[in-house]
Amino acid sequence: MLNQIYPLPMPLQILRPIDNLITNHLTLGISGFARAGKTIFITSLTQALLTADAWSKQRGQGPLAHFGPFERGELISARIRDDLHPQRPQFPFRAMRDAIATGSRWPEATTGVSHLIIDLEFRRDCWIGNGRKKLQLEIIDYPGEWLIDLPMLSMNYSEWSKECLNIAKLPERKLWVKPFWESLNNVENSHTDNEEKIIELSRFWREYLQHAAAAGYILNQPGRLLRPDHLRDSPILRLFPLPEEMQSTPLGQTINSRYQHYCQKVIRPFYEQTFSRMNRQVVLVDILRYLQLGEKPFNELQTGITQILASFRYGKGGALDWLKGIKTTHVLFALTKADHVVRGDRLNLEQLLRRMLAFVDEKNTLRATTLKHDVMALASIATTEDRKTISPPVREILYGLPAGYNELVQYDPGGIPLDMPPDWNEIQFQYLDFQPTKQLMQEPLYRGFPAINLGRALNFLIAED
Amino acid sequence: MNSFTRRPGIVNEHASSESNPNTNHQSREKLPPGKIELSAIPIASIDEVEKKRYENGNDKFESFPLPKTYSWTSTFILWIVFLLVITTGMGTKIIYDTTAGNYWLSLPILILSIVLMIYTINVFAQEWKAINQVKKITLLRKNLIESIRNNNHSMFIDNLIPLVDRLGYYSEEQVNSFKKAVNYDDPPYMVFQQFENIVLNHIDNLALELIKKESIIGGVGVAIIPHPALDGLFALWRGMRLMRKISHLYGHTITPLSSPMLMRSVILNATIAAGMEELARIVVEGNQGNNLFPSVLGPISEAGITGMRLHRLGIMTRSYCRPLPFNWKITEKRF
Repeated sequence: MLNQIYPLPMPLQILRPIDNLITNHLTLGISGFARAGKTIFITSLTQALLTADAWSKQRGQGPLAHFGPFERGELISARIRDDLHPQRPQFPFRAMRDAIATGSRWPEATTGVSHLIIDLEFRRDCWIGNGRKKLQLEIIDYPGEWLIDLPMLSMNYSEWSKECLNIAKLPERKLWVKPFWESLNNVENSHTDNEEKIIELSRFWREYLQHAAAAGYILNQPGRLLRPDHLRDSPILRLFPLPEEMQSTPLGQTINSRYQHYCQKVIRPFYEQTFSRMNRQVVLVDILRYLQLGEKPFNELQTGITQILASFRYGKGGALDWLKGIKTTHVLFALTKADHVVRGDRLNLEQLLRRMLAFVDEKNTLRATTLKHDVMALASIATTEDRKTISPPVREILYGLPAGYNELVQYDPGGIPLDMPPDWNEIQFQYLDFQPTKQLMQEPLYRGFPAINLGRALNFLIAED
Repeated sequence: MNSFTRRPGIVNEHASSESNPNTNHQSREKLPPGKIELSAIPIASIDEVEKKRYENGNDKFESFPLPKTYSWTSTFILWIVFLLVITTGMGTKIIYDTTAGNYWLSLPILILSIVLMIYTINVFAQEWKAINQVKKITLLRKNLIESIRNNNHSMFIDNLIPLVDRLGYYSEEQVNSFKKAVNYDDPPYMVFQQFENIVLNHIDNLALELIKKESIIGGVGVAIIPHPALDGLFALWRGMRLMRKISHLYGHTITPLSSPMLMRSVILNATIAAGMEELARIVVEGNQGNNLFPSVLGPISEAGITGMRLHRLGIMTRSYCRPLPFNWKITEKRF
């Protein structure tokens, strides 16, 4: 690959398209609802690739264990390309890495779409060339809250309002949406499109969504009200559902027109320019947190996955898919925070997600349309150490630093339910939020972050390229 | 499927960083959960697995799982012993009679005959051993595929660990890396994938290098050697050597009788090498006016064909000796 850190002389710039032609490009989309661990996944994966050399004498160990090209000694180097597409927001990898490695704390959530381009060089046994193959991996990150907006593309304002208000009427959400209803009742007789009133209503709706999101609920539309990014305070985000009888009023017509605008100018560009151009997709699911949150948030998670699956366009990479513009061929459903369950339960965790997918993908669309798909439990950064007690009764336990504790403790989180849907009266699992700690991370800046199945995930996603 | 009765919480027991290889969910269901302040130990390593076997009363792993011995085997051995005794007796008698009781003449002949016989027996013993080894390889391959397909953990480990130990001679670094990296509690296909990545891939590359080298040497040798019979012998020697060396890389030995399919290929190679020399000679003699072109082309074609056939033989031997075929993942996808 031409070194693009230093600008090439003008006559040699003609070589760039040729260089691009011989380099394999791959776009890896990291999807998942809010707090699923997307940022941590990208940070840990990038750091693992950059520090792979530290494990070259210990193949099969370290964060890239089970990544075929690494274990076979074919991975030569990885480097971040800061020089490509400088106009696009870059994923703040260094800040995130340092926050975890030096501050031992989880970084802040993502606020907008960002990219990170990594050049990977592999050793290949071939007759021509210098025996090296290049892969340019573009990782795309975006806020999880935006994902839930995708189903809005297939609904009109009336349908969307009906669905949103039905969800808002659920007992668990009733309290949070009360100010919105009260404000809406006041506007009933005025039948006006007063902007002040719209701002007030949209503020109440946003506050309701914030409460719901804080309680772990997923179905919070429009997602941009929670993560507005560059649209903060813009009129397009003054958006909320209205009951059917109010939709024909001037207020309803104004909001309806904003809804159309929101779908066409906000969601569709995100869908077309970011979401649907991914070659590989990782869908991160934090199922443990939802087991802890209880039945209703868990059910919403299931509904949420069902809805977004309908928005995914997968293909097998054939000519017809190419003509239709379908690029995503590999989908990995990754269960995050596998380090929060004992080792023997990790396979059970995978089984739990498999069962959940069988529920949400009733028509088996995923299996039928993708070239490859898989489910695995992973921990992008392992915050615990697996242990077992010596004296009977012998059992596997976790050793780590839970949030709010000053010292590392040995902890048994309880068993993972195997049934789907789980029997909520029988669940004994107790999620303890473990924090990254320097005692369990050995030189993360040199050796990468300890991880579980990160290399295996990477192997599934890019090994054949 | 009620399997989550372990209660969560802080465990005040002494614990170590070794994990319990038993992943059975139900096995832990009645244990009180919580904070643990007991000592604890690290993850299932090969040493731990072996230790566990000792504890279970198994002394060590067999070098390979042996095939079932049938009654005809012992009958056959008895017949061989019987024939040997008869031959020795009769031979002694014949030598004694031929030399008319002259001990100074009959004794060296007798000693020579015995040495010859011992060597012959040794060759047959080696062949016998190699044939058994081939049976073991076949069985090993079958067991590995079956264990991967059925997710049979103990069967997989029983077959993989002896194999790993055997491969350590040529690939010590890789085998040690694998032993340190592997988590034997992982599903068999994952363990084998890691074994393939770290160890087998290295051996495959070594074998490929060897095949390339031997193909070139074989080709050039046949081109230089002037006589068809010598060409044939040379190709035979290099072919057998290639087979033996590749099989050593994969931790066993292949002999002519133990792998008739490969041996057939070696003999065919030798015949073709000899035939090519003769063919080139006929072509040269037939072109009396212009000898330069065929006399250059002859050795080149001899070298090319012999090299290609040796390469093919090498690839065949590699596939034959590999514990699992290159496309084993197709098997994996079946479950």
